[in-house]
Amino acid sequence: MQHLLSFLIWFPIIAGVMIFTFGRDAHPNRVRLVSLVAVLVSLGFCVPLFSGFDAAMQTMQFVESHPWVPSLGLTYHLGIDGLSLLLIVLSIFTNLIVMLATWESIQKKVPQYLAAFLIMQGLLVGVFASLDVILFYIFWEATLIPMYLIIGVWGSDNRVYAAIKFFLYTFLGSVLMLAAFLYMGFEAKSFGLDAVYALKLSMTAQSLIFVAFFFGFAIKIPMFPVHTWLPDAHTEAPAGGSIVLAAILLKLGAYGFLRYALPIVPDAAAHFAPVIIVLSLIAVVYVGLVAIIQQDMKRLIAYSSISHMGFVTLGCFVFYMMAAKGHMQAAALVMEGAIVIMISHAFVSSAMFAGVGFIYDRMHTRQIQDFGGIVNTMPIFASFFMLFAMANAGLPGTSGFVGEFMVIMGSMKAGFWITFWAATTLIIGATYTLWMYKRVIFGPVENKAVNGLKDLSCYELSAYVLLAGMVIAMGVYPKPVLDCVHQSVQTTLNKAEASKLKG
Amino acid sequence: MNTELLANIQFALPEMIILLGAVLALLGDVFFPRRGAMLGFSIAMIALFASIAESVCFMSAPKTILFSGAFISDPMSCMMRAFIALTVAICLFYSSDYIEDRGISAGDNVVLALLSTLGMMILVSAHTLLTLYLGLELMSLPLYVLTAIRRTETEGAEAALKYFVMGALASGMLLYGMSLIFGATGALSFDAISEALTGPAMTTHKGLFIFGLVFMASGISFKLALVPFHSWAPDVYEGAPTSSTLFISVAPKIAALGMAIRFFSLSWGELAASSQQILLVLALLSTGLGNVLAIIQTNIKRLFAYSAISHAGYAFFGLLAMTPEGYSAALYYILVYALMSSAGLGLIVLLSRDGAEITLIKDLKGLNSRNPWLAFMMLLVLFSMAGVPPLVGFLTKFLVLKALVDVGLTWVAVLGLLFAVVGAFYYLRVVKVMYFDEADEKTKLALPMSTMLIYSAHGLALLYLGLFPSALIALCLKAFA
Repeated sequence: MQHLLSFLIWFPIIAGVMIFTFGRDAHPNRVRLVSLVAVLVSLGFCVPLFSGFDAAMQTMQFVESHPWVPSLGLTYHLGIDGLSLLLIVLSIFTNLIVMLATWESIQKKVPQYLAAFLIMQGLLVGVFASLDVILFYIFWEATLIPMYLIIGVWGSDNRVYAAIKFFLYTFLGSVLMLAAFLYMGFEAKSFGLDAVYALKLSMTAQSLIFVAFFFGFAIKIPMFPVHTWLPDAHTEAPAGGSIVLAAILLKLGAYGFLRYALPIVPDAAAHFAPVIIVLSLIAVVYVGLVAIIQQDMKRLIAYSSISHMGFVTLGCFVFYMMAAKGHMQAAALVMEGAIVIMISHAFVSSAMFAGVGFIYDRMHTRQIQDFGGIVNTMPIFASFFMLFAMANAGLPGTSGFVGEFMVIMGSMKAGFWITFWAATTLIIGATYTLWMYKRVIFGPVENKAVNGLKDLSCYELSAYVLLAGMVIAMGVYPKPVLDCVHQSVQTTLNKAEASKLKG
Repeated sequence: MNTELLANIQFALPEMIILLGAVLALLGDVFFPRRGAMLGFSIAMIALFASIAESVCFMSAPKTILFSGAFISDPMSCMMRAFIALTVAICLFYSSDYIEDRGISAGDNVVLALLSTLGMMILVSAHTLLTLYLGLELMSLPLYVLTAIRRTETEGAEAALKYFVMGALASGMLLYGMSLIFGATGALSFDAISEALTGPAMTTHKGLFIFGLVFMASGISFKLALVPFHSWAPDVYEGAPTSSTLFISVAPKIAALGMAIRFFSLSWGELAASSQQILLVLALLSTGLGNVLAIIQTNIKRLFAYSAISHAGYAFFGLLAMTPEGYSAALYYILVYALMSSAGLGLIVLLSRDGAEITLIKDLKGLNSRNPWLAFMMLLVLFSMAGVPPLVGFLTKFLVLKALVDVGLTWVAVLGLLFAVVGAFYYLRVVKVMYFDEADEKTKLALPMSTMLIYSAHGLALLYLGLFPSALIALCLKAFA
């Protein structure tokens, strides 16, 4: 099991290339079945990953290291801690949901579609498992190619604009990150993550690096005010693309903050923390308000994602306000809360986007005003969607509640007003989600097309059952997740606390 | 017979083989006019691959100077000669059908291509200013003719005239610069010039050196189409028959960069800062303007011309660092660029068949529906040119930018990266046309099996070199170690 991580990266990529090369448009079901098997095999190999993982260990596990380009000091260095483990499993699980939820909805160029998702899955695992900054960058950037194609080829009317905007926006952010990596690689004489962690830097250098990181990660999350690509990308992407985008690609930014920005440039991060916190709160409140008035369901969920991600960035940075007061316990609580929100949001937003996809496939519209009374014809869908809507609004007992509660409770130690503004999300979130739910699902049937709707197919239902199970399990008993990330949060906090100023 | 003149003559074998090939092809064309095309093509392939083999053999040999100091064989020249021959062979292979379809005289095409190749090889192996000039002219003259090879087409003739006038002007400037440097040092060989540059001549003739440097830099920039000496490139790319555009855009770039490396890697002594400044302006203008102007192009050949301008600018970033790592980065950049550009324009040549002529970007519409595999190969090429990992184009940019950061020019690297984002836009637009737009014509596109295989190998090589780059990078680094 020494090459488990490599297997999880390269197996889906090779499977994807095979499907692209040999899959035929004439036999879509055969191709779908093969891809489903590929994802299930990947998921199967997550079992030894979990069982072999020791949550108490402080170092990286399942480490693989081979020289890659020795003359430049680049290594193929993989390894995971609790945080990466969760995100890796989440990526593969999300791909399973994508396969099931969009089983029938894509009819053209099926082999290419599924190949893009499989390749993306492998690349995402690579991002989370890399311990060499350049290797990380390579996987990070490579995910843009399949996503660009997914939005552009299978998206809706305005897809070209959305795809190019998505690509250029994120590309712009990441090239600055590359410049920062190049600089650190030069200073540290190595591109290994450990060497970069150990590197001492002056405050000016740290600030510049932090700004570069900020562009890279904040655009990806996305944070206010660099969030404008996301509503477009989400709206125009096919349902599967939206699911992966919301569930995993947004988490890349948060992962970047936790794994790179905080430990590498702690002093600059502390310096800029108030700015980030303010931007996060603006995202929570202002973007939440923007979500309320959306007419397009996908746009609404997209804005809701940005608002939730505001919580994540808040959780990542707010501890700088408490550490000064010595509340280390609470600091760990908010950071763990942020991670829980990341995971929970992956399930909830996948489910919401999948739901929009289900009704879009049947009615070819996403406008809220075109719906109404769906509960009459799709009762099963309506009940499940109710659960996910509640989870999105943060109802206790669902996964949505746990993380938000942890962040709100913890940040009380940082200051009342931070908590106050953060807590408004409970009202705003409930407003946009439940009002949307009411207009779409309940009420009289306005549109004749609603009368002819068929309820969920078995593939769609299985995706929803899996997601519902996850949402409730995490809402009722989040301990396994917390145990898993506890050690990584401690390590990150220790690194983010220690000053690295060159003295 | 002067034995010293002929000592180590085997190191010039790659050139001699090409010369022999050119002569044989010419004779074949004269004596067997009906089978000239096939014969010329076969002779060219044999000569080119024999030349590659010879160059590869000498790659690990130490630096050798022959022909009384006129000619040098070092790892850099061997690598460049091998890649020049390889890319010329690729270009000839891709354009063979195009040439036949358009009724271009295949025999002439092969002979001109081989003579130009000979010039390129001499250029990268030059060790005196005179050999440099000889190689340059031998490379350029056949290129002018290749541009006008369809002499009844007015666009080709116009492009050729522009190319010739501009090229002649550039040669003139280069020659004038050489004469100034010769005047100041009294030497033609690079070693002697290097010595003079750091010696007492520098103080007495500083003005002459500066003028010589500027004139030679301008001449070199003309050949590489760096901004502000770039205006000929888009017109020539557009006007020339696509087979000639392909030829012009690939191997001559390697040769011209070889010339630039030879010239700028002289030890400039006091003038190092000035030459660095010249390089900086050229590189930044080229990457900036090249990428911005490419955005508004609708003609795909013009698009590739502007893309070539910006790529030459990136290669100059490597020179700008003025370190061995920087020179290796520039070498690596241009070698890989030759592979990418021959694949990109190669597809345009290959698809211009059965009466179709690809000139506009929108002629590629819906390629993914018409031939998914070719579209995928082109996707790899375009993303590689845009510098997106895991394709090799990313590593080339990585290497030159790393060289810049290592000498403290981080701000230049950041600018280069930002220009890369601008550049990504027009490559994305081509991908968009191929993948997102519906084809006007629904018919499947098919290429002959052999072409398909070679093209696939070529496209996948970009991916392979991106995933396993260490061997080529190590070779490039060793060339300047």
